[in-house]
Amino acid sequence: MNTLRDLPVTRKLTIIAALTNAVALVLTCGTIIAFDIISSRKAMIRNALSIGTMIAENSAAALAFRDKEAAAVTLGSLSVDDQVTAAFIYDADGRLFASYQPPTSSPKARKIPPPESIRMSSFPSTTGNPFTRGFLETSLGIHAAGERIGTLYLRRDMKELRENLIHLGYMVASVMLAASVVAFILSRRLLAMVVKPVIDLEGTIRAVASRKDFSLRATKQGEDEVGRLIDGFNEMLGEIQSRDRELETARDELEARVEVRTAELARSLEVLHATLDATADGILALNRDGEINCFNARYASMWGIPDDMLARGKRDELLAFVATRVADERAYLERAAQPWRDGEFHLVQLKDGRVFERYIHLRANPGGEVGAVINFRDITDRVRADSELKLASKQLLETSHRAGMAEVATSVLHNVGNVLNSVNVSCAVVSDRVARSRVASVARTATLIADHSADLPAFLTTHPTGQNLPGFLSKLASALAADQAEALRELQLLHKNLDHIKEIVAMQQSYAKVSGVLETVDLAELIGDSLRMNEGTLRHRGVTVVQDFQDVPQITLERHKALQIMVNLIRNASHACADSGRQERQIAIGLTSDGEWIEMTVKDNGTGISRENLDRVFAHGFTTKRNGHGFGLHNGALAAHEMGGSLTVRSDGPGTGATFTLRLPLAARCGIPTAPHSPQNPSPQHDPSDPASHPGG
Amino acid sequence: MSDPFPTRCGAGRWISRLATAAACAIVATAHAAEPSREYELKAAFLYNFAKFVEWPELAAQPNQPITIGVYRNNPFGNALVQAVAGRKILGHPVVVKQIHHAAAARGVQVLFVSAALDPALPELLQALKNAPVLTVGESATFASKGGIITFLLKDDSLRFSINAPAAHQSGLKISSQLQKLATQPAGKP
Repeated sequence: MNTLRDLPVTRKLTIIAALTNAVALVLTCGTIIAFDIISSRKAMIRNALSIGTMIAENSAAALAFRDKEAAAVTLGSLSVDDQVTAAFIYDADGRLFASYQPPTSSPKARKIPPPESIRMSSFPSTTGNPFTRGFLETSLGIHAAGERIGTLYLRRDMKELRENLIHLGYMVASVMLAASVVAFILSRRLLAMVVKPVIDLEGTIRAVASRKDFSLRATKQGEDEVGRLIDGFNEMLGEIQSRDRELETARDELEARVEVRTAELARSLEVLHATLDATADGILALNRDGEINCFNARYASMWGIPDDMLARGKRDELLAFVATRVADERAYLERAAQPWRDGEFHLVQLKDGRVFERYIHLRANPGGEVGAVINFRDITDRVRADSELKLASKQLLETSHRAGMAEVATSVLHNVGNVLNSVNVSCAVVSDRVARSRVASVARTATLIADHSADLPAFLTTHPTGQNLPGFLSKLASALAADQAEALRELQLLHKNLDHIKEIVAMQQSYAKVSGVLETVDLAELIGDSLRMNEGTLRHRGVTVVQDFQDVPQITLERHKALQIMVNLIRNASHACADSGRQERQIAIGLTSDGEWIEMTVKDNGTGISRENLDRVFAHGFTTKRNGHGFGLHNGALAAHEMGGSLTVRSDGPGTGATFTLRLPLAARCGIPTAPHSPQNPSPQHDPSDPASHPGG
Repeated sequence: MSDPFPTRCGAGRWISRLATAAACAIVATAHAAEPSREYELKAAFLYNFAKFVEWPELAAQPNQPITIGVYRNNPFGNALVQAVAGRKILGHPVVVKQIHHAAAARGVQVLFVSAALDPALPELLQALKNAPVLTVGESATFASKGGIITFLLKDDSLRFSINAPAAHQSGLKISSQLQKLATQPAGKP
């Protein structure tokens, strides 16, 4: 079966066709032969029956009258049928009466049958086989007038049947042969029609496979399944070809893009390397396993690493080498062995006196791998400069302290002077009130009453003066009460001012101790105090005050500093208004908060400040006032700064007025004065072991 | 068409066998000319003639017997009676009857007239004129006088001739087979 499977399709189909053909022929011919045998046997029997019946009838009289000659003549008529090899007539008693044995028959065919075969055989028989020993043996009764008077025995040769069969066989064989030849030729022709496209297709496939040439096409020869198969194959080839082309285009594009990208990358790398080499820092990049990814030239030069060691790029070797140059070799190695932390910062003291900053920056690659970039910065010069600076600032501090004492003294005098102004005003007011007191009226009234003491009731009821006396007395009482109240208020103010002077003096005393008293202050109240302190000045100069206060939270600060600033600002504003010479003199005081800061603004419509003076108003010694000493704003700005806030000015120019803003942090800041902020010094993790890392100390 | 062999048994079979045996013996010893043997054969022939002849009136009467008459002189002795005993032809029983008068001869189907009665023949045949009676005789002139079948002895064998016109005249149908077996009458071309 396998051999059949491996045969070429043509041969396979030919074999199948031949086999089918042969089977069909064999079946047909077998049927024909079988049918022929059966029908010729039947015909033979029929033939024998008709001949026998005729002979039996014709020989009846001869047998009845025992005319053997006549019987022989009758039997002799059988000679026309050369298939009859023998015939015998027996009488009723079974004795042989007449016989027919042609000399042409063989002895076996001629011989007289045994009596039992005569007895037993009868014809036509439904059960027995009349064909025995190669002969058809027939026995027929001979009857005369319905009475059986004898038996006819007839033996026929089956040679004809055999010959017929042989002829038939020859015929069938030749027909089969001829049919096979014709079928073979036909099938060759027809199969070629079926198989040729397949073979062509196979050839095309082989050509495509071996040459990889997808432009080949199979030729279609019909619209059958093979034709459709070829169509499908060609379509597939077309598809492959177009895909191929697309692929090729895409590959070309990709190559071009890769080239461009590679060039870009190379350029970036160049830039990167140039940048790396250009940095003042030594950079060493390590991967997750601590192996060296890259480093720059600066790294090698600052550590003085030999070229051959760099070329080998072994981290352990490098670390060991580097450690030998560090002052505390053991500590350095220990630190290097610890796992990295992002932002880790150390100062490294080298044996040769240099100081390096070691800064670790962890980096995560897109692949999730974590490596580290170690930065070394030579800060030897900076450390040296730092220490020099520290020394200089210490000396400066001492100098300035001495200078400051003078400044402080000036400030105290100034402030006390300011307050004394208010004290003077209060005193003047009180003495004015006392001078204009209605005490004389009281005395006159007392005299009047004493004069009319005898007829006092009449005087009080009838005399016009006496009638007005109670009204006058009550008016006098209320006037006296008002005078007293004003005097008391002025005295209270006087008392407050004296307290303020005390505070100023105390502040001056405490200035050396650089500490202040923190209080929780209501700023609206503080502004009110400031206004009261300037009340005389304001009234004297006819300045109206507009207040616009928001509800602001209380604030914790050094009260007298803020008070001093505000008093100073209001006084300056009233002076500016007076100096402007305009009729409407107004100061607007605002209080606002944005939740983080509190702003107090003092806005006047006075002389204003020229642009060039805006920068100088806070400078020590600057003043535009005839009798000013240029200390107030300078001191105020310093105080504001000490409270963590600021004092700023805004003016659109001369004649347009000015706005001063005191800005204070709502969250209480340390009132301790701090040294100026050092911007060159970020605050990374300082090595506590290195005193140089605390520049503010 | 039934086969008589398997069913045939009893006395009839034996008689038939004896008769046939006797006939054969007569044929074999014809030279001896023993009258009895010759007549035994002739008796068998008489019976067989009846088988090959058709009587027009018998066809309609199946039970009527076929009567074989022996005119006056009986040369058969008992042989004829034995030959027909128990036999039937197409259903008709066969009987033998002695006929003494010519007038009575008309009632039989077969009438045997022995040679000795030659002189009485014209009177007899005249009486049987146009009657359906198969006349069988022995003398050489029997046919010429109007008899239908005449026994002959030829080459030591018993043969017979048939006078076809006479048979035709009497209204009998004689089987062609019988006619074929018959010897042509002498004197006729």
